[in-house]
Amino acid sequence: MSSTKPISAVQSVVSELLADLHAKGGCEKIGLTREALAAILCDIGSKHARASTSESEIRTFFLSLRVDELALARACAAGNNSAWEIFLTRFREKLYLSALRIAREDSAARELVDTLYADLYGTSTRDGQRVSKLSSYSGRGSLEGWLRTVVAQEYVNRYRRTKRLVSLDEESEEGVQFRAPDPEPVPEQGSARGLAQATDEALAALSGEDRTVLSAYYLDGRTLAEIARMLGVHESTISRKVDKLAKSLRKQIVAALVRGGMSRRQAEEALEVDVRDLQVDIRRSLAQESPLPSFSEKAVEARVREGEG
Amino acid sequence: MQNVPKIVRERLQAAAPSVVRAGADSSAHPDADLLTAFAERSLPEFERASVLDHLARCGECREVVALALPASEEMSGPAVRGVRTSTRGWLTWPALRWGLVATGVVAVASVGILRYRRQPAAVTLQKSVPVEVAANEPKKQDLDRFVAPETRAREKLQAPAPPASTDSLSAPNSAVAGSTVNGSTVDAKKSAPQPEGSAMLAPQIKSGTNSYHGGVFAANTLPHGGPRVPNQWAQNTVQNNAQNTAPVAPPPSAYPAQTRGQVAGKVGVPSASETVEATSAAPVTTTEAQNLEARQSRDLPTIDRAKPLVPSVASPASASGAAVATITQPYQASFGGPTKKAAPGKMLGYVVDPSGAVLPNVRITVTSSNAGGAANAVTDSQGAWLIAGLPTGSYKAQAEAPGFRTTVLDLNYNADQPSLYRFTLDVGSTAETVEVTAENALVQTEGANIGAPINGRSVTQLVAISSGAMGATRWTISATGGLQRSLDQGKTWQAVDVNANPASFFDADSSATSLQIADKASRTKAQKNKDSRKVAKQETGAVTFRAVAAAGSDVWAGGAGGALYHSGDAGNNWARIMPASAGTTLTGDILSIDFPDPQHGKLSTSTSEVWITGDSGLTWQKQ
Repeated sequence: MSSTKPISAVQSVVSELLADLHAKGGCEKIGLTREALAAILCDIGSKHARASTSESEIRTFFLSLRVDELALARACAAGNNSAWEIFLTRFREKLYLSALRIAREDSAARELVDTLYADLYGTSTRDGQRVSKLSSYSGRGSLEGWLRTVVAQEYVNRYRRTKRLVSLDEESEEGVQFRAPDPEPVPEQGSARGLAQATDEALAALSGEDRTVLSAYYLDGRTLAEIARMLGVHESTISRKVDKLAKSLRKQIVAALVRGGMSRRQAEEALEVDVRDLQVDIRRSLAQESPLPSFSEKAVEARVREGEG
Repeated sequence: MQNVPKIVRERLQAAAPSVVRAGADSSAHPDADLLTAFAERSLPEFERASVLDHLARCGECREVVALALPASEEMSGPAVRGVRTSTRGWLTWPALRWGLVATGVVAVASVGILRYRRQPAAVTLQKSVPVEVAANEPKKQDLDRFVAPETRAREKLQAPAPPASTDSLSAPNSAVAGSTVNGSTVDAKKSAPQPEGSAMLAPQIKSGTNSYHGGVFAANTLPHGGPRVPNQWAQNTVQNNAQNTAPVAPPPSAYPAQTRGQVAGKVGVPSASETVEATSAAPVTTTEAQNLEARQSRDLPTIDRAKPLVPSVASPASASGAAVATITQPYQASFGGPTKKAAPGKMLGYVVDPSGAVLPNVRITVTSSNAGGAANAVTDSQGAWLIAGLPTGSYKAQAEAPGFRTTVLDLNYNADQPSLYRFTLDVGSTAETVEVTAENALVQTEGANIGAPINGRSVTQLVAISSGAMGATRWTISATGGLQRSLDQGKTWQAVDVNANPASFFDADSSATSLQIADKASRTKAQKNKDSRKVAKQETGAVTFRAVAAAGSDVWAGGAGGALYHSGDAGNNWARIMPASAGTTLTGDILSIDFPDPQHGKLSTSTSEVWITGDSGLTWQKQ
């Protein structure tokens, strides 16, 4: 029930705007009929719209769409030759350049682009129909940006994994191999658990943007400028934000630890302790020294028994 | 940038996989549409928030967004990452790289400094003027040991004789020089009768020579002298003195006969220490090299006195060392003639105007009468020119200068003998050419027996300089503290360098005005012509003059730091005077000089002292 209202609203808005949008998108040239466009718009609109969405919101949404690019993409997806011509003239070079920028290497870039073209043209079939990747473009961002994103996704999917394998070396350099096995069976020490908990709480309290900034900066090693461009804000804003976040996080964690019964000094120290140290359960690995002989005795016994058997 | 505690990174990291894992499906990721719209900031707030929420946990989507950024700037993600990791340790690449850079800089700098230190020698050598000439007067005294250490016998240097100026002795230029000359003179005297003393003489002579050249040579060259050249001289001397002419640079002034007699009369017993002292007193001995040279000179083997020594035409140290170093550069001599001769000689000359003032920038062209080659030189600021490498033969030397008559000398040049030629250019139009034929070198060594230098100076042929314009000479101090004179009633002024005498203009008969030992009685009297002037700063050579006074051909110039110079020959030769009275010396800046007549003068200094002399500067009283 909840979905019917938006769909009807969308349909009414689409029919209202259709003439306008159809003209604006230059759909004639690329052989996209009004009906086809209307179907596309309804599809997009219904995906976007929720029960709570008002008609005016839907109207705004449609008006904000890049109808021309959407039309082009969909015409291409439908296999319109003139649309493909336009598409290639406009985007071929850009596509290759962005692929090159992402892959940083010519052959990899070409491979990326080739794969992408196959996807864009549509190799997989569904119900006997070619499914073009372009048909997933909804016109919410620029077609060029979308293409870049698609290339980036493709790159990440294909190469990031390889990279991750390589970067195990890096991880081992970081001391990953010394980490104790997954902490779940290990009853964490009070302080460590408290610390992790406090940290999680503090992080959870942050907005998605703040966490994104922190992750991008501290985990991904992005530069401030890159983060700024990702989020569409000025670099100095990000700089201030990272600074502020780091300070406030520290403060909050310490406060949480103090609340949990630590002295302020203990809390500060706990914060400074290397997490890797925390997670290496030295006592346990030391304790293994004594059980180990008995275990091996057993093994010897077993072997002896086997021998006897 | 603030660093977050490690635990924060850890938990951030931990959050990501769990979410992705929970999502399990890639459908959990926002689609390309959404991400593009996010990156282009065209998402409504709630969608943006959800995308951000996802990005906060999903490294892959963050990466996609970052990679998909438009190309406006070069992506620097990995590069940055590299830098970040590389800054972990001190000895990682950046540190090493900078270390290398620093090392390189240090290496270059030290090489530069080393080179710079060696340079001054060459530079100063170039400056020195090969004009000093010792005249060798054949004397009865056996002065064969006057081997000028500086002489490069190997070079067969032809040391030209100093021209004698009509009216004056050329005095040693500095007081120190003067004193050393004295010393050497006395030593020479002594050594004559005492053969065993001859060994010691070398240094003395040397010092004498140096001091003789004091103005021109020593002051310019030796104090800075690079070690190399002096050593070579010394070595050459050692090698050569026994067999070769080792001309001594005679002390500048041909002393009046009586002086000579005097000196000769006292056969002192100079101790070696005295000698050394004399040597070290000379300013030229300040450098290590100089000392070395002195030492070597001291070790010279005693020359067999019986063996007739080549009368030393003084080869000025400058002529030998400096000339070698400066053959081409200062004099711009180019050798057109056949120069294959094994021991090419040097043709030295100087150019003066009728008053005896040196003429710089005179173009000298020497053409060989037979071979037809030509060599060029231009006189330097001391009016001297030098052409080396010419073979024996007859030459025509032409001197041209704007405003003077071009003068051509026919030269009989013997490459084996030191030779010095003097041009006197008359004022006239350039079109005129005066030909002078068959000019022999002013000084020639004539064989082993002939010259016996007297008192370290040998005067063979002394050429008087016509001094027509003498009375008209006017003096002034330039705005920069340089001494200047005008021979044409002030129309044009030429700088006079008291430290660089172009040539020694001796005249045995003229008065020796400049040395303290000079006999004042022989001084020519000159009309009063007080011309004390301006106070100005800056330096000519090392001296900043403040005042100048001329009394006829006697010219007194004083300046900063007690510098007092006297010329008895209208400025051709200068001697430094150091007034001393009752143990005190004049050290303040001389602000005014007043010489109503050549004998009586008065100085006032910046230290409010007044010094007077009644005997042409030989003695002074402080008031």
